[in-house]
Amino acid sequence: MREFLRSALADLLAERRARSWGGFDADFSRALAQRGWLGLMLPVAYGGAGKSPFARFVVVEELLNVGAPVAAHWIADRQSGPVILKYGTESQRQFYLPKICRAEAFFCIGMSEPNSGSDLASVTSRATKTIAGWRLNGQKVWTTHAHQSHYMIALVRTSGTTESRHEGLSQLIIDLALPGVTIRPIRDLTGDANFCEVFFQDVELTDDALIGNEGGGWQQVTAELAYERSGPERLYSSVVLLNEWLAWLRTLTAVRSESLALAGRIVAWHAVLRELSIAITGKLARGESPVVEAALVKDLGTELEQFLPIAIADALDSESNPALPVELLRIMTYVTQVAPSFSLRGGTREVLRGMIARGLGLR
Amino acid sequence: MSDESQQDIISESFDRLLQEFFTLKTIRTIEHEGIGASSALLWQKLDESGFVDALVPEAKGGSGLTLALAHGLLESCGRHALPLPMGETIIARALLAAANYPVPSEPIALGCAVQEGGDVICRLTPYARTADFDLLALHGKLVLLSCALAQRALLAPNGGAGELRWPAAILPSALDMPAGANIRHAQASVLAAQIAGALSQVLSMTLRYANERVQFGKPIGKFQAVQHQIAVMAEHTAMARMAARIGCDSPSHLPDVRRAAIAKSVASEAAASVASLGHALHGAIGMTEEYDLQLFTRRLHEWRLCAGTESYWNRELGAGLVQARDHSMLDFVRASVL
Repeated sequence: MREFLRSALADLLAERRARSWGGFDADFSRALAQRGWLGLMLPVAYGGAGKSPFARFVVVEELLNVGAPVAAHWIADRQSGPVILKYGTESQRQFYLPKICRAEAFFCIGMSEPNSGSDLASVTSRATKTIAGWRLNGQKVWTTHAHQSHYMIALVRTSGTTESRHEGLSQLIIDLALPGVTIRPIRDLTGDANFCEVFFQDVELTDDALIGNEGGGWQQVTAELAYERSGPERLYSSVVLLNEWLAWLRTLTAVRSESLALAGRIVAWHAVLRELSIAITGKLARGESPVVEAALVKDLGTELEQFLPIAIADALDSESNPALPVELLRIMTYVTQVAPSFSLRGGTREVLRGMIARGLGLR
Repeated sequence: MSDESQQDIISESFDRLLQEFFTLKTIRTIEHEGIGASSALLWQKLDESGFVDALVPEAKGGSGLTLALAHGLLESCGRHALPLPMGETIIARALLAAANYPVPSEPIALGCAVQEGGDVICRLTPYARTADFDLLALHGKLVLLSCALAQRALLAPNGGAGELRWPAAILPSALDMPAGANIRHAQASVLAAQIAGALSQVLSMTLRYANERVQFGKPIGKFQAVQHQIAVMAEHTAMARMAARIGCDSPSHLPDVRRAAIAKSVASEAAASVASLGHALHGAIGMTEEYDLQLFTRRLHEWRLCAGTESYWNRELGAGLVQARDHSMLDFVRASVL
């Protein structure tokens, strides 16, 4: 796999690789699929590899470690596929899963709305029953790569009102090519335009757009978030910066003890968080849903990821190092700019700490 | 039987022993008296239990466990605020047995010594108050010294840690260091596991207090600011516990040097932050002698200080990483931990 990555990514600048799982390259995803590295956990019958979550853990680490552009297949491989396998009907599985494994169906996550961020249960996008299926109206926002995805799994209200909270929510699979779907990318502070707003105006969906139980959306989305939060990616968002910094340190004749201590702290934290992440993967493999543990590891992981650009900037000690390579500074600047998002996507720090407190028996 | 369930059985029966004999009242007595009738009696209970010989080979009368299997014992020592150097004696006995040296039945501390003007000095001995012997690394050799012959300077009137100093005249002959033995790393892995145990106790005491203590008409655990601080305590405790497990992950009686470094770095950092959050959430009651929190937080700071604080180990790990020229961080971590 390393050999493949070396040649496939030979021309990709470190500055691009620093995009980590934000880098979108459909051809690269298809090349991975051809080698059998997508859908590793999905059954062979649906085009997957039928392997344990640990196989995916290893492959994901290899990809993230070099900053491979994995965004195209990322959501489908990590959570949409497992959700369809767990809650989908046989015909839904046969339709979507082989496409996911071949990198022919890219998915995005339809959770946040303009007035529903951390308070996800307050979503107001609504699907009403029609003779043929569902009619969808509403809006999603911060939907990463919606403009380059084929499908969205959205959490929408199918009955009740916002006051019903966790009741009356359902998950729908939406074909983003349907009439009535409008997608607008939003430029972010780094200059990239990866996340989008998505509008639904009288979008007509067939019956089989519903995935799982009508009204069971909240339970399903909670399980989906355990997949989203528990993976190794919550440790690797800044790893390209770290490895480029290490490469630079290794060119110096003497490394200051502050830099050594910083490198050591990062390694120690990483090693321990990685073991915790592996322990969670073990629980997922045994069919458990380690929601609280996943929240705990994600909160700690993003703390480390956000610490990296801040601490490395300081360790560069710019005034006494006139020979700092500009490439390293550019990577650092990009990661510094994007780092606040690490503890926003997949649930904010405050939401996660609330979940941990509840899990400990507070409230 | 899996390693994990074997480990559970060992630490559960050790836990029961500690619960029976080491009440927090007894612990206070030993802290007050130092070496005396109470400490001798309790040490006898520990010695008779056989757990102190956990790492001594079966051929020499021990249980022949690996450090990985003994990890739970070490964590229990911290969870019960043991005032005696049980964890260090477990290592010391294994080292002495490996060197074919007669093993004293009394508690043995570990330390790394320096020689100044002929005197042998061990600056930071975590159990300076209650150890009868100190097994020291000195000039690449091992020396077993009686603490009765040392001048003790404790770091606090109620503390366990302190400096031990032996006059040059009394030095016995040194033992050869067994191959691969490294006192500081062994001590680091022991203290990391004890820190993990004490942190679990501080977390559960704080949880209990937050659910019971009522202010503004409700338990303080209902306040989001308090909840989030306790969540942070739980996160750092979970990290320290995993770190300690990594530190003890060894198929022999001695730790892997890199894993011990990871363990002591992460556990030491967690010790400082969780102890301070625990006190912040307890308020003034946590500052009293009578309340038990201090038995754990005082130890946490001592154990963080001894056998290398986080920065000491971070520098060692960082130097290893920078020198591993062909390794990405992931390669380095995989090579160290798995």
